[in-house]
Amino acid sequence: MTRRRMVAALILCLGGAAAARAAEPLAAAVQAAQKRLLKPAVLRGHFTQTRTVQGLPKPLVSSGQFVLAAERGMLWITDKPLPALLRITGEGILQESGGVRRQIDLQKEPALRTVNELTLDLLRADFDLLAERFVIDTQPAPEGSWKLLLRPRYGVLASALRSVVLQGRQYVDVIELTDGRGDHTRIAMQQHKAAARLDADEEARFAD
Amino acid sequence: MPTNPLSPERRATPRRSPLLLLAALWLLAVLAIGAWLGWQSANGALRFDADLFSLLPEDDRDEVGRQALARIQQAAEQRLLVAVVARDWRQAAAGAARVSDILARTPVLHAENMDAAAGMQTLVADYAAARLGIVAASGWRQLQDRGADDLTFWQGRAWQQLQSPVGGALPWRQDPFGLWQDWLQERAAGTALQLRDGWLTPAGNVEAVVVLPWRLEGSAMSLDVQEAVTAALDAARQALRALPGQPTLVAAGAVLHGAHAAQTAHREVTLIGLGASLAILLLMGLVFGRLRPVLLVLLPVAVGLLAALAACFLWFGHVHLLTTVFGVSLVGVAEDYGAHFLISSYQFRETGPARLRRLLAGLALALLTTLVAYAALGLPPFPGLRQMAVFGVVGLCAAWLTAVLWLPLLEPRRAPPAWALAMARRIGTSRRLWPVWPASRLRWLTVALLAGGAAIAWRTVTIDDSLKNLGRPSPALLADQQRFAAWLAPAETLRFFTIQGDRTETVLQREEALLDELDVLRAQGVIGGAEATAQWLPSQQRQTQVAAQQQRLYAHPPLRHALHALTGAELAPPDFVPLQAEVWQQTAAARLGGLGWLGTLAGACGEAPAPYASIVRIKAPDAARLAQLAALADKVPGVAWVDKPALVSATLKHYRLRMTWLLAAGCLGVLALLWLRYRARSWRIAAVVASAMVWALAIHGLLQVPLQIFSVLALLLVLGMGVDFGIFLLEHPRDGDWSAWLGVLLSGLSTLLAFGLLALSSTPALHAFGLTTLAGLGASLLLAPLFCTTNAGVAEGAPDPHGAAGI
Repeated sequence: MTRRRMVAALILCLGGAAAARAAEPLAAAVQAAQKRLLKPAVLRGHFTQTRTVQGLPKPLVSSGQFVLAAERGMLWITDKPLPALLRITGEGILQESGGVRRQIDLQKEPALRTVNELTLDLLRADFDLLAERFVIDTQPAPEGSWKLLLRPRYGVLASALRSVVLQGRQYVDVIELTDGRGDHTRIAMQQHKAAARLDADEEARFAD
Repeated sequence: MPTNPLSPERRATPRRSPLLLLAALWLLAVLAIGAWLGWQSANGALRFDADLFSLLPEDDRDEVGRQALARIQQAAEQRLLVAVVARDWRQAAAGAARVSDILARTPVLHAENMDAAAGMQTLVADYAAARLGIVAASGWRQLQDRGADDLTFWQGRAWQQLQSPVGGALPWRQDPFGLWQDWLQERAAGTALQLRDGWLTPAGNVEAVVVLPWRLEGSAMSLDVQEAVTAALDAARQALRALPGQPTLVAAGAVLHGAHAAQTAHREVTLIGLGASLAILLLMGLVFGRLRPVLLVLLPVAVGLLAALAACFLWFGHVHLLTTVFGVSLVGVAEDYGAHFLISSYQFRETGPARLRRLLAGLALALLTTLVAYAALGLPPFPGLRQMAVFGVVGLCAAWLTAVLWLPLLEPRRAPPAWALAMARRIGTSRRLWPVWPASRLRWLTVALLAGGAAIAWRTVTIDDSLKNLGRPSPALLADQQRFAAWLAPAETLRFFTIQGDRTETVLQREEALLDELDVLRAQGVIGGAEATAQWLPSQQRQTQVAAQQQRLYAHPPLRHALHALTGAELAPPDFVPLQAEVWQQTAAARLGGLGWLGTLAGACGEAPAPYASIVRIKAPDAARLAQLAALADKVPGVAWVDKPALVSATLKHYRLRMTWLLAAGCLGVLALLWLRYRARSWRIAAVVASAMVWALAIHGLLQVPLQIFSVLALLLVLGMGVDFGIFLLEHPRDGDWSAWLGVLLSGLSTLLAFGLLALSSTPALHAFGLTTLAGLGASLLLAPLFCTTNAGVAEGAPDPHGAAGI
């Protein structure tokens, strides 16, 4: 049994926070930011991701399109530098790139449920759910926008993820993640377009 | 009757002083035994064994299999798995926190803690130098199938690794393609438990389940530990009921099985002991009307059980629970000698030692026949059966000695009250209820009984030699265990492969070959998965091959350019130092993955040409296709398939057949002995016993109780004791003394009751034993007066029956 538990713990990625606590009431400023957020059924946009990794001389830049559907999940379609698809839904994670398709079924690996939930919560800026896992503080922000610093409450998550910074106005504009090793990821989202439902292409991608 | 022991008549009886001396010596012996038992019990040195396998003979031929089984069972024994099941995750987590608190307060339980971050760092450090040679099975396939030319593929893999916003176990440059990361995940996926919010939960479950593994401090078979654990679990269940949603507790572990076995044995011993004793009390009370004779009959029983227990502890060091349950049925047999002695007071006028002299030969013969039957139990080389045989033999001898040495001196002086005498006479003359038939009609009846019984038996009897006969877990425990099996997909504990080789490297290579074959079977659904040391420590050959492939990858110019363009970094393969077995065994990974590694075998096997061994375990085998697994042993050299339940069944079957031959020989032997004494009349006794045995089998079939070795052993007992009924009745014609029939009836009923109670045992083996004896002896008791009664006082052509046996 020891063996199994240790190895299970060693699925790195986003291990998981310790037992979730009931959320304390959010600070007034955070609630204000929450009120400003629009939550459409379908949100599309363009993203640019810059990743600074220790040991690599230059940051890795990728860009593409994203689709955030309130009920279904998220599609992350990278165009540059290599075409790739990342799909996160309640059932699992699908990664497709270089002709190789990798699917993770959450039924078989419930630990990654936390990864899914976290990713979707961040993109949707669901502060109530995020407050269970993070301590949320406000930070000074340019006029007209809000900026929040999130730090994990519990040990296991903290060792994987040091902090998250969210910034936005009516939608989340910037997500900055700093992981346990100090590597930094900055995702900038622009050209937000709200819609009522998914188009045929997107439906196909979700269903696939 | 004289009351003063020093009166002249008494002094005149010549044989008293030797009897007094012997009785005094026996008293000393009994006191010594009692004192020894008391002292041992105070020291806590009296151990009761609940382990099924200790009943069975060790398989000397497969030493490796035995060591492997011992290793697996040791690891499993100290575990206690507890799970909290609720409708949603939050309730399950809350329940788990509560249960953890309660169980942590129990001194014998330790939570299996893990420090995820520290564990990870240790693992990374341990495998750092060798990581180039260690990849997952999927990774190895990809390295072999997709050469370095497949730019898109390897570039894509590298990019996926880079893109993950939370890094992998190693910085990207140390594992650019994520191949070692995949290996890590493959090891983790091999377990069915995953971490969620700090709690362990089974993968693929529908309800919310939190699993809490615990480790025992102390032996799982110790009664104290069992009690502490059961109490703690009850408290935990209580606490869960108070929580919203009422999560439920599920628990499994060897300690719970042991606790249940101990409770069941305790209950059955009490039931049989008390039941049989009460029956004797009642019967003797009816016939003697006073307390003293009743107590005197129970005295040899008590001494017999005490001596039997002491003998078993002295000889074997510990006593199996099954032996105690079986042994208690001795109550019904051991009271015979005392009862016969006291009842003979109705027949003979002599008192005490004088009457003893008349009865001694008969009593000795009765003891001998029963002893032979019980001793026959010890013939198969089963430690469990040997214990039962020793228990029976010593118990009966001690009871006999007590009856013979003490009862004549202690017997009541007063005559029984009139109503008791009347009752005794009524019971004794009940033999007249049975008709006296001419020999010809009886012969037809014999044929009918035998034919009818045999036909029914032939049609309905089934045979079952499986391990389950020796012990069955409670249905609740079994259900819980099955739930855990569904959640955890654990590796099999009783079926596995053993691998032998002349060096560690040979064993690891053979493991890898076997794993390849098992992978094919897994794809076909024959097994759910496999666990082997080679998954944590690949052979040197494999490590070198993998490292070479990876180095080719790193050195491939187009790939290097592409990655440089993407990241600006120059990739260089790490230095590769293969992981050696001796080094690996000191690492934390060895604790995780090294359960199957036997290393150098102990004992004589360690000096054999192939002294290194390991175990490869399988998960969820398909019971219908085990033959495919067994066939792999022939395909890969050095591999052996161990299927313990099948081995046990084969052993039980083998000895069942041998005991059946013995039974047949015994029947012939008994027939020969009977012929010596009874000549033409011996067919009567033979008819009774044969019909009884055949109908015992028929009842087995009718009640759908499968036959097994214990049934055959019980038939031996039926032979030994059933013959006695016939002999007694032939010796005493119907119109002679009614006390003979009284004695036979009373002792027969008490024996029947004791074995009947044994038939209520929840252990299938004891149930079958009790049923066979009950049916066989019952039939003997019913048929004996019918067959073994002749009109003449002395029947056709036989010598004087009152010569030797007085009963």
